[in-house]
Amino acid sequence: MADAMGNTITVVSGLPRSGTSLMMQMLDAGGMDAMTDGHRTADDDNPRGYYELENVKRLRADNSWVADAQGKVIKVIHLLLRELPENYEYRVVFMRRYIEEVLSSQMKMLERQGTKGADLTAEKLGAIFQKQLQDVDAWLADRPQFKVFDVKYHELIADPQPIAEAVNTFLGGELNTQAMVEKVDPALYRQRKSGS
Amino acid sequence: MAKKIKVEKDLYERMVTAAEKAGYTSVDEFIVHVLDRKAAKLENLSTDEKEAEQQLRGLGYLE
Repeated sequence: MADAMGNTITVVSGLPRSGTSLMMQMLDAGGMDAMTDGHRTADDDNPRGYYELENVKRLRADNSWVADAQGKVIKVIHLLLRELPENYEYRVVFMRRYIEEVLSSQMKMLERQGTKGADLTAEKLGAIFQKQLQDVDAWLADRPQFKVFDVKYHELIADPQPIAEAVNTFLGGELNTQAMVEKVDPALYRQRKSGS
Repeated sequence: MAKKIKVEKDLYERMVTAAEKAGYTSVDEFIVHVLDRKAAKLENLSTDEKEAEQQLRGLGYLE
């Protein structure tokens, strides 16, 4: 797989709880080399694991390690994409999920962890996250070294095959799409907005 | 009056390379520009934006 993508860095991004871990699982199953450290282990919020890297949290202070991600896939939340060094080529699979579902899932996770979140109403927090996404989209659009493919979480859950194929095409066409599809379990889509 | 700060040699060498790539006339100019831009960004974060960052920190996605 590293040959197909050469030195390109594949990034799975989005708001936390937008399906980024699921996409990481899919790409890993499909044959990509996922850059993770196993520091954060599977739990009730992500029964199949987080596929994260502690270094990502520290991107604002140190992005020197990103060179090691060439030919691999890493998970980077939306807000930290701008901290990636601009002298590499990136393919970004950007997960999009209804903001109500994202916030609901985040609240559940904070409750389970017993950690403090934002002291804001859901409405205000949602508006800030939406604005951050708009800013990140504009930032990405200005940078030709970042190619972006959007994946809508609810569409992925409803019909994973065409999305797996589209993601595979975006990433060079060498992934095992059947293995990717098998990672999608609708039972894990627990925070649904009404009507979805 | 200018102040001096210390950075690790490896970081300094990376900044020299980055400054050259970005077309700055000197590494000093590059560092001042980067620090100024970063500080302005942090100064301009609203209280609500800081709270949103707390949400991400609480979830374990930021340090």
